[in-house]
Amino acid sequence: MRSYLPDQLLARRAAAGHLEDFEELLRRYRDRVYRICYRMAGNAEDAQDWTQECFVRVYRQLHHYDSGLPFAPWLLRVASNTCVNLAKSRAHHQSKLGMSYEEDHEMPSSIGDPLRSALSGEEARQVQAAVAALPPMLKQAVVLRVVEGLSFRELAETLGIPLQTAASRVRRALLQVREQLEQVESEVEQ
Amino acid sequence: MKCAWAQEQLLLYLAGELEPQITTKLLQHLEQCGQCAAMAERLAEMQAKVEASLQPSLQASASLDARIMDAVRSLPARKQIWPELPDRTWFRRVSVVLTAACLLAIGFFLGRASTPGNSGREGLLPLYLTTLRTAHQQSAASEYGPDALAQKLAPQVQFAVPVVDLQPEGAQLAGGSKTSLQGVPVAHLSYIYKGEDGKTALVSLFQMDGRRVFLPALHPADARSEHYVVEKKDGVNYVAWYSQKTHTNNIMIAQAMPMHELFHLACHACEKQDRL
Repeated sequence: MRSYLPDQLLARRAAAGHLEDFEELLRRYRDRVYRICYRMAGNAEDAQDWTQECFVRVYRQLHHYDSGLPFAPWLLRVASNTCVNLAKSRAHHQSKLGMSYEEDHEMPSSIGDPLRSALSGEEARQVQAAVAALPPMLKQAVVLRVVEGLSFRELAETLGIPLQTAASRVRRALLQVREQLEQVESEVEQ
Repeated sequence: MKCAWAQEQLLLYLAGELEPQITTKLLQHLEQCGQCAAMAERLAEMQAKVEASLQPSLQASASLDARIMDAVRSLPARKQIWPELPDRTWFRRVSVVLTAACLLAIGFFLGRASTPGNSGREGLLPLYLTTLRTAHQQSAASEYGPDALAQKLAPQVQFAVPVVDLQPEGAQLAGGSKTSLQGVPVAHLSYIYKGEDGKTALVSLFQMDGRRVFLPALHPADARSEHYVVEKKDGVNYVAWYSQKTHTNNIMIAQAMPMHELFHLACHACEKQDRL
């Protein structure tokens, strides 16, 4: 049965071992965490594994959560930090094995969005690839800001960093994406 | 104004999250600096492109819930040291430390209680425990209520004694007296506790002036976060804590009383001390 209890209370009850309350939190935040994982992982298969890992970490760390504070920023911090660690770990393993991973670059629906319509499928795929190639910390910032639509203040709060640092990470991420796109463009022209 | 500073502000400005005063300065700069104005345009363009490329409303498959819950259920059960406590504000601050080190810590505290140096600390521990146990076994009868008892005890022990009323928690204040640990005054409050099983137990709360007595039992970091030290020794249960509000070091002792009930009582006492 669906619960209408506030997140904070559910989190406290879940920390005390009430799994049905944790399940409700999972229902509420599954898609948000999955979207972050998808953007951080770059493919659907890893995104599912990473989402599972994120929620397991969240469950394990619930007793550290201060229920006097909003739950969502805390959860997003745990989830996105988990993704950063998983991304680093994966990069480390792949560099040892000399492998690269495949990424899905699905096209968004363009209905009702002029800019999205204007972006060609190829260009969108290039942007996604450029974001996927960002260092994990920059990718984390841009994904939370763009995919989750956090304000810079919320982003700073979620990551536990100063406002200017949050803005600086997103700026560096955007400039790196732009640089990557320009590089692709010049390669195509040649 | 330097371009580097201006460019650091651009995204906050585009998001409408820049302070008005800084916005004015930034706009003045952008009017004069073509390079920064072009950077603002590039950032806005890239932000829009990334948003357009990444924003599809992805949804996880519903089967993921079951998979995640299976993973959570397979985790080793968190050790339940105490039965679940009622949903009270103080509980989130409580962290129970249950290691053998606790006894050593209490010993350390007691050993430091009245001695400037640490010499003979180990030797003092049994003596202090005996003193507290002896005081605990002596009923401190009094006809005073909490407030009157606090007034009576304060001049004797030379600090404001936070006498809390624990009657709603099933502990009737029986009395109070002064005792001492090698010359350091200690307030002793006695309670008669009626347990869940209907049995009664004698509970003693010893309080010391935290500004005069260093409390190594509760590490300064632990004291700030209001940790409790919990220990059982020779059939006697102890709970120790530091009250930041009243600056007192506290040890609650009981015999023949379940630890979780003593811990409940200690938490209530600490919470009420904070309200004094």
